[in-house]
Amino acid sequence: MNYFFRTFVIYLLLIIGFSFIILDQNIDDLSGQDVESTVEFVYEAF
Amino acid sequence: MNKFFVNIYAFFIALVVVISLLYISKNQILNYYAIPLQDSLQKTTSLQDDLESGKIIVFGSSELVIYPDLKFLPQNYFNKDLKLPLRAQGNEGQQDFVIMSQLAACDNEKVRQNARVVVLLSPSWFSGSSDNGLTMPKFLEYMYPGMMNKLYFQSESDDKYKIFVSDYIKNNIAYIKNPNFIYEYAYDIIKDDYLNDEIKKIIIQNFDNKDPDVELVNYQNPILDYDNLKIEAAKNTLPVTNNIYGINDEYFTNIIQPEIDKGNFPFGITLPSLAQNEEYHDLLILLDFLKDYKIQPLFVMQDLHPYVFVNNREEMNKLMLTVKSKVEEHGYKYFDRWTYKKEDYKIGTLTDIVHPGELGWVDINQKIIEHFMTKEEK
Repeated sequence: MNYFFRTFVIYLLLIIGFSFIILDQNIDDLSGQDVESTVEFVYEAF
Repeated sequence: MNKFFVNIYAFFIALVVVISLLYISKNQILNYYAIPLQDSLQKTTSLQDDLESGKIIVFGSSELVIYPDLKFLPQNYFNKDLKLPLRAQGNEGQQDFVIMSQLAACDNEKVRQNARVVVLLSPSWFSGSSDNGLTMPKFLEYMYPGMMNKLYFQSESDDKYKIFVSDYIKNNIAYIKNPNFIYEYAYDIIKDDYLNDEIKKIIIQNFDNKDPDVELVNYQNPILDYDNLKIEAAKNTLPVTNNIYGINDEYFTNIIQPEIDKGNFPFGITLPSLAQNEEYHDLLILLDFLKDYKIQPLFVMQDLHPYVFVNNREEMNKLMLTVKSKVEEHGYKYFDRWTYKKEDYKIGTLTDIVHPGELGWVDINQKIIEHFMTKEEK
């Protein structure tokens, strides 16, 4: 039982750590702020 | 018990515990981490809701915003006078490719079934020497990170349209200042990273707060006397006192007169070859994309004032005929406001040299009504 509990805690921590890393990375990838262009749009009347 | 099975058992119990915890506390976790993401995605739901509801959406460019007080401007006339919902989407510089990109981002079965789309095409989109087509600042204005996320991780559109967008970004990446993840990596690279791709889809799905049952918009054909409306439109138009072309006084004084003084009047139309005409190729992609829409979209080709844009009008006319035939080949309705010959142009249709005036809008509004509000829907 002790062995089961020890491995359970280790796996729990590992999975939490792994989940945190991939969630953090993916949310960071998705939550980019608006970006600007290096050129400006110039409206030409004609 | 065998240690191997104890490990397997412990691993699965731990996995179930973590998944349960994540599920229970997903809102708190995501709200804590990702308010900017939520805000960016929230911006995208309005267009998708309107597409799903069947509200008429008029995609266009400067004509939708340059004279915002015109009575017959569609967003004014339909919403205020007719009390019929209509959305105007776009401003100066919005062109075929970014219209397709937005529609691809919002694509799903409900949109395909219900969307009523009008595209106001401008001949000037297709002209210019070698620099026609969409510019990056306008792409970024409409395909901001939230819309890009929607396109890559939520849209049901065919992958080929996502790849068109991805290729456009790749070819123009130099025009993006500090590109972030969604612009930096090509769609096929993002898709190949299976685990992260799936996680991003789950995250996006969890932020999707949009109403799953958007109320459908049904239109009743208003019985309008268009001859009377044209008389009203003429009355609403300020009298033209300084030119014979029907160009509003202010525009003529500020824009045209200086060109006359410099000897640059009348103007010519510069055109690239069809093979090099970026806008023409973008239009073909848009036409192809719309083929799954159940309600036929309406394309309106606007005009270039025939008394002002005189030189090379024959070549432009050939291009306009090609565009028309391509739209009609796809089975879409095409309302042709392009006039090749001066004799066919009605003075006052345009308020300046490219934008419809009150009179021009009455004609376009009539076509929108006739196209989307048939008698069967009464």
